[in-house]
Parts: sequence; C-alpha cells; structure tokens
Amino acid sequence: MASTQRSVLILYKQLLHECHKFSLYNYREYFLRRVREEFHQNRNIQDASKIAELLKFGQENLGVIRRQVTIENLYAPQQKSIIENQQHSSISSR
Amino acid sequence: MLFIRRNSPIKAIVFSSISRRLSSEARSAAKEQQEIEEKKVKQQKYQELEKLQFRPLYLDAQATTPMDPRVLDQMLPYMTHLYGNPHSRTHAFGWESEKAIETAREKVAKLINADPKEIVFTSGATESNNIAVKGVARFYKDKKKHVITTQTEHKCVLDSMRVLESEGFKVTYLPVKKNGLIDLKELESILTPDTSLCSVMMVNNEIGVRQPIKEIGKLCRSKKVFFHTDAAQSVGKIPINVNEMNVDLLSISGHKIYGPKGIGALYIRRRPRVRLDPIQTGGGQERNIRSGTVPTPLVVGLGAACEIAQQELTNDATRVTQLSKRLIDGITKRCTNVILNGDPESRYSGCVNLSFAYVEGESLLMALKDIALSSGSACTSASLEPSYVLRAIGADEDLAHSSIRFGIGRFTTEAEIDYTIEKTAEHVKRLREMSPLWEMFQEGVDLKSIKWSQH
Repeated sequence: MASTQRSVLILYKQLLHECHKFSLYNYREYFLRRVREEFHQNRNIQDASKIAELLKFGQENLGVIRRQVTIENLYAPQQKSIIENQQHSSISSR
Repeated sequence: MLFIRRNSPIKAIVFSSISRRLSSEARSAAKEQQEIEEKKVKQQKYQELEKLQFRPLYLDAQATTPMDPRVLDQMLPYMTHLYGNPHSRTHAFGWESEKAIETAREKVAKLINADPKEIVFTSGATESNNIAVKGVARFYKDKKKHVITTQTEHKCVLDSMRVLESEGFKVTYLPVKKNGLIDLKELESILTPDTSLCSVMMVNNEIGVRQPIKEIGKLCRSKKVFFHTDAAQSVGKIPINVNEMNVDLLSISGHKIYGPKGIGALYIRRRPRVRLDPIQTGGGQERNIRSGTVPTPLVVGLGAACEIAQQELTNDATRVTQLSKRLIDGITKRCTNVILNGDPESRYSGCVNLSFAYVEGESLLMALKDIALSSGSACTSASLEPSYVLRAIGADEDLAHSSIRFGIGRFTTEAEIDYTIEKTAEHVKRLREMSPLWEMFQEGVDLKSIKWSQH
C-alpha cells in the first residue's frame, strides 16, 4: 500500500512539474487545475484495481503532456498573454 | 426663343449621355477607391499585429476554440509516419488509416448516442448543414416541396434555404419570440403533409439560447417530418442523445469543441431511414454521401476531441457556468443598463451576449483591444449592420448596435474574466460620459419620444 501511495505522489508531482512548462498561459492554468482537481477528487479511493487504473491513466496523460509541452514550446510566440503582464500593460495603456 | 427651344433636346441628350458615362466612370472609380480602402484597412491590421506587445486574452469561444493538446497528440502520428489513404484496400498503410477513422467514428457516435454507421465525416458544420438541408429537400422534392427553418439560424442554413427557394421549394422562416426561442404551437400550425424537413439549431451562435429540441423532435416525428439540428455550438457542451431527442440529422463541427479546423460530421438516422441527394459526387466515400478522401489526421482529431469532450463534459459545464455567472454578475454590478440578450434560463452559459445601452458596440470593441471579443458571429463581423439574430428577437436598433458577445470556454481562467469585467466597466463608463444620449437619459428624457430631424 505504501508503495502505491508513493507512486501516486510521484506521479502527482511529475504532472504538476510538467504542466508548469506550458508556455501558453491558458493551457498551463487549465492542466494545473485539472491535475489538482482530479487527484483531490480521487484521494479517498481504496480499491487497489481502481487505483491501478487511475495510475495508468495518469501515466498516459503525463506522456501526452510531456510531448505536447515540447511541441508547444517550439512554436511559442514572442509575446506573452496580457494577463501575465497585467500590471505592465495597465501602465503602458495609459 | 425658337433657337433655344430647338436646341434644348439635343442639349439634354448630350447631357444625359455624359452623365451616364460619368456615372459608370464614377462607379468604377468608387469601386477602385473601395478596394484601396480595404487594402489600407488590411495593412493597418497587419501593422498593428507587428506592434502587438502582449497577446490579447481570448473570449470568443463561439467563433472557434484553441485545440486541446491532447487532441493534437493523437493527430500527430497521422501527420508524420502514418500517412496512408484510408480507402486503400491493398496495403497496411491504408488499413491502419482506415482503422483510425473507424475508431474516431465510434467516438463521435458515442458522444451523441448514435450508431457509428450513422456518422458521415464532412469538412465542417457548414458542409454538414448544406448536405442535410439541400440533400433531404431535393431527395423528396417529388412528393414534398415545403421546408421549415427559423429566422435566427446560422447563415449557411439560411443560404441553403434561399437556394431551395430558387429551385421552387416553399420555405417558411419561423419567427422567434422575444427570448429567442421558437413557439411550438406556431411550429405545429405550419407543419403540413407537404413538409419534408424542419431545421432548427440547438444552441444559437450569437445569443446562446437553447431551443426545446426534444419537444420539436417529438412534434416533427409525429408529423413524419425529418428534423435537422445544427449542433455546432452544443455538441460536447451539453448532453445530446439523438434517440431521446428524436433528431434525424445533426451537424457537428470540429473546431468548436477544441478539435482541428476543417473537419465536421453529419449524423444521418438509419431507422427510420433518412435519404438524401449528395452534393459532392466522386469516389463514393462515406456511403456515397460525401465523396472525397477522408482526411485521416483531422478525423482522428475530431474523434479525440469528442472523446475528451465526453470525459470533461460535467467539469467543463460547471466551470463555464461558474465563470459566466461571475462575468454577468461582475458587469451588471459595475454598469447599469446592461441587457442580457436571449432567454435567461434556456441557454448555454458559455455564450453571453450583452447589450450596453447608449454605448456603440463597435467603439467598445475598439477600446477593448486587448480582449478578443466579437459583436456577433465571425462570418458577419466585417459588416457594421446590426446582427439579424438580434433583430429577429425584436431588439431595438440601438440595442442591437451596442451588443457584445463574450464566449467562455474550457481554457478561460478566472483572472481573464476579472480583467474583462474591469476593462469593460471602465470603458463603458468612459464612452457613456462622452455620449449625449447617455446625458439625456440621465436627465430623464425619453429618447424614444424624440423626433430626430432628418438632414
């Protein structure tokens, strides 16, 4: 049991770490939120087979996010989202 | 006296021919001028793009949506190594592509509770609508020559109807009530034994109202009229069951559900069977309904988008509703005289169409440059005419001119909503302070009672 708990925790951290790398603000925010929600929602599951299934789903998604972060960053535009520069923009628009 | 009189008709003729020549010259000159203007506007737009310091935030989810990275991840193999033609029968390249499109078909079918055999891939909802409307009407034209649609339908349905009208069909454009919904009793009264098709969109693209599809479906089934619904704005956002709703044809668009652009699907019921005349003929792909090689990567993308939409439906829905409430509450709290267009209850919450009284919508859009918004559908956003949808729901000319559509989607964040509220309130206040109409309204003058003099 302790080992699965550990692997769940590792997966969670890996997912969050990868999601932070999205250069597009909206993707980053969305996937961070979804990862947190999903783990929070399933935190009380005891059934070992269900946990294994969810772990597999998470691992697959980790792979997807890793690949997509790489691709997405290859084509990232120079400008960032206005939200990320909110304070800066409110000065320049005056 | 005589001299002048004799001369005058000649003069008149000479003058008229000159004026005619002048007018044709003037016309071509005006056309040229207009082309130059258009070019200038385009160049200005591109220059502005280069000056862009920050990317605007995106709040136009009804026009299109960003592709979900999970969708792209499934598409990429079919854009690189797996390039086979899905219709090739003789080698592995064809087989693997065929397998991929059949899996995608299953995913699309599952989302709307249909059979995979009932799904036909097209280039988008516009093509799906064209095939459905023209195809069904033309197939049954010998027996039935009447079709029904609503006034608030998307341009591609309305235009297909115009084509049918020119072919001798009788088309009824059903008006909508003030809240944007159709009157079922009125629909029932115009359904005749001569009616072959009724086309009503599920969620309106401009005001977001949800038509009572289930009731319409039931009514059409009882009168043996085929029922088509344009679900481009609603698939993957609200639960759809074609059997429960008695829908016979349903149009799906890929890029409105976080999938790729250039792909869509049409659901065509098999039992009771709906038959139609294909528009595009050729190799006979897609059960002869839509010839042309099926674009494997795009179809895989649509399938992935549908699968994810099904997984994320409840999460997306609660999130979008929450953000939409935050936006409406925030704006109405900060600004007075804001009107929500369309029915407040029967609606898809991700499409918020607000009218700001005494503010010119176009100026507000210009002021809100760092927010990607639109005053209506993207297809008609080039013209300054007020939207026909808003006019159909009986909005006053001035309110139709002052409307803005906020489109909330899967990737919209709270910070973006707050920023939008802040900026909108600020600019509405500023523009109203400049407006003489607003001043008069503040003084209690009833603007409708004023007779504006004509100049």
